[in-house]
Amino acid sequence: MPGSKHAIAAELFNADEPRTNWHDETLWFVRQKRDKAAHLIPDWEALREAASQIKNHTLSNLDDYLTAFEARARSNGVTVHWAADAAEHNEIILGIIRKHGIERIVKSKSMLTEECHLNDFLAKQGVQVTDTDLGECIVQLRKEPPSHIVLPAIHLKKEDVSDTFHEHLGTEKGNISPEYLAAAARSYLRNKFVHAQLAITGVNFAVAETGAVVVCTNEGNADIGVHAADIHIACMGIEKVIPQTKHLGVFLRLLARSATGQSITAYSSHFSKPVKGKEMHIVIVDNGRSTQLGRSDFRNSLKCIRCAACFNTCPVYRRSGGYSYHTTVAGPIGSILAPNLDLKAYSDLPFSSTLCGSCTNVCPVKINIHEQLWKWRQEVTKHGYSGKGKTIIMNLMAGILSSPVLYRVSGKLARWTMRHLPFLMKSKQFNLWYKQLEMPEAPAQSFTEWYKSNIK
Amino acid sequence: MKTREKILAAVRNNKPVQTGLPAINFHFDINGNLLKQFRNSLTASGAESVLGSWRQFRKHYEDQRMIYPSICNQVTSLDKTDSSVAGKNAAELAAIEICYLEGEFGVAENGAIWVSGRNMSNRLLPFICQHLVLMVRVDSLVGDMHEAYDMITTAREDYGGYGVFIAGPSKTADIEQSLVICAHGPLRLPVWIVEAEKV
Repeated sequence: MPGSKHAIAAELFNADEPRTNWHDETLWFVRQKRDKAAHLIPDWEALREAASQIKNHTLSNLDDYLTAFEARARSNGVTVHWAADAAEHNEIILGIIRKHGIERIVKSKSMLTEECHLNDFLAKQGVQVTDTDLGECIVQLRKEPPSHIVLPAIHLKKEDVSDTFHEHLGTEKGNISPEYLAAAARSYLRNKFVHAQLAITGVNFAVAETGAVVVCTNEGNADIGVHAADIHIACMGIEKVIPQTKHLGVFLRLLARSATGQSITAYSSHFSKPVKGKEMHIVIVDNGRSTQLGRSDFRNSLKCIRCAACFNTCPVYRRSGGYSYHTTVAGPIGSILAPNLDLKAYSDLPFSSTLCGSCTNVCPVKINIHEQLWKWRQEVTKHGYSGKGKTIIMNLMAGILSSPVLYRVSGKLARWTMRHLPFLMKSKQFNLWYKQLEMPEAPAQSFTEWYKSNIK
Repeated sequence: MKTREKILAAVRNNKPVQTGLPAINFHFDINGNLLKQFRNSLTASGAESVLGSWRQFRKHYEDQRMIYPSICNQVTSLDKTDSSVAGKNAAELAAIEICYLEGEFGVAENGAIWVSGRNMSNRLLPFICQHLVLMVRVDSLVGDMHEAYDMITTAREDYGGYGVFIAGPSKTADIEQSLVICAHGPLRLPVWIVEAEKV
C-alpha cells in the first residue's frame, strides 16, 4: 500500500541497495539451511501435520489444558500468575522484584517480554535488566529492539557490533573478529550471570501433563541465569501449552530445523521444580490471544511456535527488514497477529505482502499465513482503514472491469498512452509501479482484437 | 472477576470445535548404525567425541585429576561425587576447571545427551565449569527424540525437577551469522561414549 507505514519504512531501507541485498542474502541463506535439514527427514510433512493437529486439538481444549498445567505446576512448588495484558504482566514481575529487593536481573530471549515492553517499564521504575542472548545483548546496548524473533541482530554487520562493543564494553576499536567480540560478550555476560538474583526466561513449550516449561537456546544463557539466580520467572502466552511430554518429540524435531537448520538447539531445558530454597514463577499472559482465539479466520495463527521460518523465506521481509513492520513480532506471522491487537495501527501489515504463500509452505505447524493475510485485508477495508485512494481506485477498476465497452476503451487508451506518452508511464510520481519495475512494451493489439482478426 | 477467571472464561467462550490428537508414530532412520549416527550428529553439532572402554575413561579421569586441582566429579561409578557443590553459589562454582557428568542417554538423530537433575548436585555445573566432560554409555543410545521422550516419561521420577538435552557446545551466530563456538558455558565439551560396563 503506497504511503503506508510499512511502505515508507521499506523505501528508506531499500535506499541502501547493497545493504538490502546483503540482508536479503543473509536471510535466504538461513532459509536454505532450513531446507537442507528438512529434506533429510522423510517424515517432514507428516511431522508438520502432526504438529498442526496437536496445536489444533490443544486450542480446542485450551481452558482445560491451562488449568491442568497450572495445577501440576503448583504441585511442583511453582507459583503461577495470570496476566490479562502487558501492563498486568509487567506489574506482576515488578511486584516480585520489589518483594525481594532485587537489583541484578538477567533475561534470556522472550518475545513475550518484548511484546509487553518489560525492559522499558522496569527501567522507568529504576530497575535494569541485562538481556543475555548475544543478539539481544547487542541490540540492547544499541538501544534498539530486536529485528527478528530468532536472530535479533541479523540486520547488523560485524562492523556495527564492533563499534557498539567498543563504545560499551571497551573492546579494541575496529576489531571485527567474531571470536574476539563474542569473547568480550562472554566475559561481560558471565559477570552478570554470576551475580544475578533474578532470571527471567521465555517459554517455548509448557507441558500440561507435568507442569514443566521447556526453553530452547543455543547459548545456554537461559540455564546459566536460572541456575545462578535465586528466582526464576518464566513468561508465557496462553497458546504455549501442549498436552503431553511425548508431544515435545514432534515439536523439538521441527523447531530448530525450521528456525536455523540445526537438528536441535545446543540446549533444550526442561524446568519443572525449583531447587529447595529457590523460587520459580510462571506468568501466563493473554494480551489479546483469547480474542484471536475467537476469530475463526485467524485463530490458526495461535499455533505459532516462533521459529521465524516465515521471516526467512518472505521476499518482503528479506528486503525491508524487521523494523519496517513497526511491531514486536515482524514478518508474515507478525502481520496476522498484530492486526488483532490494533486493526488501525497495523492496517498496513496485511498489505505488506505479495501473497506468494511461501510462508505457509515453510510453517512447521501449517498456519495458513498467506490466506490470513488476505482475509485481514478484507477486515481492514471493511473497517475503512485501507485508505481513500485505494477505495477510489478499486471502485474505478470495478466499474471498468464490469463493462465490456469501458474495458475495451480504457485498454486502447492505456496502450496508446504507453506508445505516445511514455514520459507519463515513466514518471515515478504518476506510475508507482515504475519505481522499481521496467514497463513492458505496449502490445499492438489487445487479445480480443487479435482473436477477432485471426479466428474466423 | 479475577484475571484468571476472566481469561479462562474468554478462552472457554472462544475456543473452536473439538478436534482430536494425532497418533505419534515417527522414527528417524539411523542407517542401521546407532553409534555411528550418534557420533556423526555430535560432530555436526561441534562436539568432539571419544569412544573408549570404561577403563580408558577412568584412566582419562585420573590423568585429568593430576593436572587440574579443581575437578568436580558427579559420575557415581567413577569416583566419589562432590556433593559440596550443592551449597555453593555461582561465583564459587565458576572456579571449577573440569567437571564430569553422566548423561542418562544419547540421541543419535541429533547428538543430544539428556542430563538430568538427578545426576548432579548443582544444576549450574554443566554451564559454569571451564571444561565439561559428558559421559554416556553406548548401550544407552536411542535413535530419535520420540524414543528419548519415551525414556523420560517411563523414568517417572520427574527427572529431579530439571533436565536438559545438551547437543554440542554453546554456540552463537549472532555476529553477522559467523558461527562462534563456546558463546557461554564450558570452553571444551568432549563427549565420552563408554563401551563396556564398569569392571
